Amino acid sequence: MLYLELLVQGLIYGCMYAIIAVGLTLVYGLLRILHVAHAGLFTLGAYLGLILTNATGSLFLAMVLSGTTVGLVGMAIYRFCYKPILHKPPYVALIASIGLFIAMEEIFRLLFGPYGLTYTKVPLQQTVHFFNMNLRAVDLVIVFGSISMLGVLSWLAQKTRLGIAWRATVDDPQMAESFGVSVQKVRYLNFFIGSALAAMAGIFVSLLSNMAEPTMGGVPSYKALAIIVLGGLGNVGGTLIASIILGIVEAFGTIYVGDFLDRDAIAFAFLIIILMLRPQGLFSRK
Amino acid sequence: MLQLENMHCGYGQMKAVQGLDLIAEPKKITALLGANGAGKSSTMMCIAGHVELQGGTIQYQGIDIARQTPIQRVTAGIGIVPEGRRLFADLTVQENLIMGGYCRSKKKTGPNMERVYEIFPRIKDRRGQRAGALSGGEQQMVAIGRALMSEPELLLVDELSLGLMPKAIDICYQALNELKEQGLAIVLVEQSTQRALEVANMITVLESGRIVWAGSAEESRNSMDVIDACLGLKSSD
Repeated sequence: MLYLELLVQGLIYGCMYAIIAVGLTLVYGLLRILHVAHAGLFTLGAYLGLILTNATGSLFLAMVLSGTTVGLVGMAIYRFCYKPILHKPPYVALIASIGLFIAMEEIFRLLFGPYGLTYTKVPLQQTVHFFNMNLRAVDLVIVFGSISMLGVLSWLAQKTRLGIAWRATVDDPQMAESFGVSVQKVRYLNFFIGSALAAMAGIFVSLLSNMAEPTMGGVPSYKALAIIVLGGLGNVGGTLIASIILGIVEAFGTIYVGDFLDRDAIAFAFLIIILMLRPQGLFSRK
Repeated sequence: MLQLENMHCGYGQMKAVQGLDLIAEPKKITALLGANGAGKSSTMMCIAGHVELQGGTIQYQGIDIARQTPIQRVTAGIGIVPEGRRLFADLTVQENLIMGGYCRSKKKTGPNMERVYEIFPRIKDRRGQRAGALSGGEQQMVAIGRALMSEPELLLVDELSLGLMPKAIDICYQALNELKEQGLAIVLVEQSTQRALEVANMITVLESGRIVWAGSAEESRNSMDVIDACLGLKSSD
């Protein structure tokens, strides 16, 4: 029973990592940029979700509004931060991205204060019995919410003309354009979806910890960066699997080595070991 | 249909082609020959809209297309089979064809795809496979099929036979001849001079970005030695 519960715990965190990391890997696949500021969007999503939930009383409405807003902010970041410097070497965009992330953290601090905000009444805290386990409703929402969002994304990518055009653009932008795909539109769509997913992850984390604070994006973003390398940069399927693996390793690690290592230390130790053994990632094609 | 006059193109400071005149007409194949680095592929990519036009004019169906985007050009009927095929390797054969017809309405995808499968029955059997997993010949068939999905009136074919088995080359050339008969204008870049001369109606030979010989297929038969010399084929004599 303990193992099953640990597995479920791992799944909850794994799902959360997955929806952060997918946005990151999508940007990398399309533009070859390490989009560090993605973590800022995660934090923004958490703040907006929390504030709107407190204001309207509806978590669902807050998620929709937060996701849409953060998606648009993500598009703006592409338009005003990355697009003007795309022709420069990749480290230029990386530095811009890191700078933007720091600036965003400071803006959150200025706007919302250094100590973070809490929910007036944390939603989804009731206990649910699920296969003989006592889970919080929020756990189920995270797992099923993430899986359904990723399911929709996968359907979009595999089954629609737009999705095929998206994958073709990742493969060879110039050729995609030769056959009528607007590469710019694909990039905007990519940023919208990736950023909206990051916002959802931010809201999930804020629900788990009853808090949104300025630096909450830091640790998840380092983990997400390591995850996308593990998954084979730009490889969406690999990223999902790597996320779930990391979530489960963390969950089991807290039981077996939790006495002397905390959750994040376990995660990073695991990531470092794997990347030492397979620097090209677990699922790299080349 | 297509008319290049004194066309210059290149990448910034690098001049790839300097002063090319070229014509393509319906039911005709125009061959563009030359050694590696002569500027053939740059010419093709310039017509498709990917290489900067640095001088002269490009007219397509009587309209100056120099300022049109690649998307506008494919919509206007310029289809490309690029050098090295450049299929979307992670997409299936069928998805590659769908991409080829992306600039046309969704309704036309089905019938156009049937037409491609009629020309190349071999790739119909492989439609669910990753394009990157196909043999070179099959990939070339998909590349031609992908271009046909865009309903081109002008087809740019860059290196049809390079690296293919003779049998696959025959199939591709047969298809090219059929397409020509159906009314397409074709510009063909080919490193196999022999093959190109067999099908071409008009021939232009490039060397270091400049025309060194141009004429009809009949004229070329009388100046084979000149053409060979231009291509450097007799340099060892």
